[in-house]
Amino acid sequence: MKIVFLGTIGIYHPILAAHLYLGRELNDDNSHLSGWGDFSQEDSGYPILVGQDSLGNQVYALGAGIEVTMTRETIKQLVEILGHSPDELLIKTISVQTEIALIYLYRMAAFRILQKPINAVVARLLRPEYASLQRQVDEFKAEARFS
Amino acid sequence: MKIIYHCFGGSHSSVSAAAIHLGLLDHQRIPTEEDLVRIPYYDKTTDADFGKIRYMGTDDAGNDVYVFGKKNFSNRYASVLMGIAKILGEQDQLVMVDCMNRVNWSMKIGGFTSRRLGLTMVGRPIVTWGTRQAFNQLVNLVEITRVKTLGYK
Repeated sequence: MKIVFLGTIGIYHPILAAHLYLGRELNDDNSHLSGWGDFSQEDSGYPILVGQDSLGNQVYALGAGIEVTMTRETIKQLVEILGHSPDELLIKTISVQTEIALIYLYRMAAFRILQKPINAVVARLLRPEYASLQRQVDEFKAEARFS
Repeated sequence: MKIIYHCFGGSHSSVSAAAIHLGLLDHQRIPTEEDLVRIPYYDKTTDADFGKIRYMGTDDAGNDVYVFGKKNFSNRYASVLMGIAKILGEQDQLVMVDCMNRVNWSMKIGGFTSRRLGLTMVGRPIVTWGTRQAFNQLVNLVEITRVKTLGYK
């Protein structure tokens, strides 16, 4: 099974959620977490492989910009069109209060020299949301257990 | 193989390209306004259709052809869907065809007027005129797509 944590910018809160799901700890800057703030991965548009859980499920993070809901529905359709069962790919939308601001910060990072400071700003913005991220991950684990 | 023609609204250029691909429009002559309006989905979509992958038909090679409106998303959206196909091991089964660079100003203005403003009587003649102007470019796009998908199973 594949698990995709989906949000506005994949390399920020979805990737934090993915790492939390895999039992990893977050800290002040999260630079130790693979994929965090990696603009080249976000630019590619491809889901970012974060790791594998204890059951062998591959865990990904993905950014959809402002159209998270639309993207989620499109992906579900695509899975069926490609002849796969919906259970093969679980999508969990991850929301944070600052998710729209993250889009604008990400756009500013088109100027490479701003990428590092922007990651630092985002890390600061997301710190108060760690409990919410953990809650969303726990919700997902509970839902997945019953599906 | 699944072929998805996509554009902003999934209502004009992608639908026309898919129709050419499936032989619903004769690629050897410029269609009339009536020919275009007769195509499924042509200038008939609503906001609820954004993001929906809609089946248009199956071509003579057995490929399923779809259309899709991606709003303001850049071609990154195609990468998102290709990425999903890849993690499912199906990247060879999916072809995403971006129709946006075949869209002219008449199609944009007419499409916006008809679909977003709801002024179909005003917008439709403009968008169909624009589609007819862009028709040969859409035929070219379809030809390129058909060549790309030759030999795939």
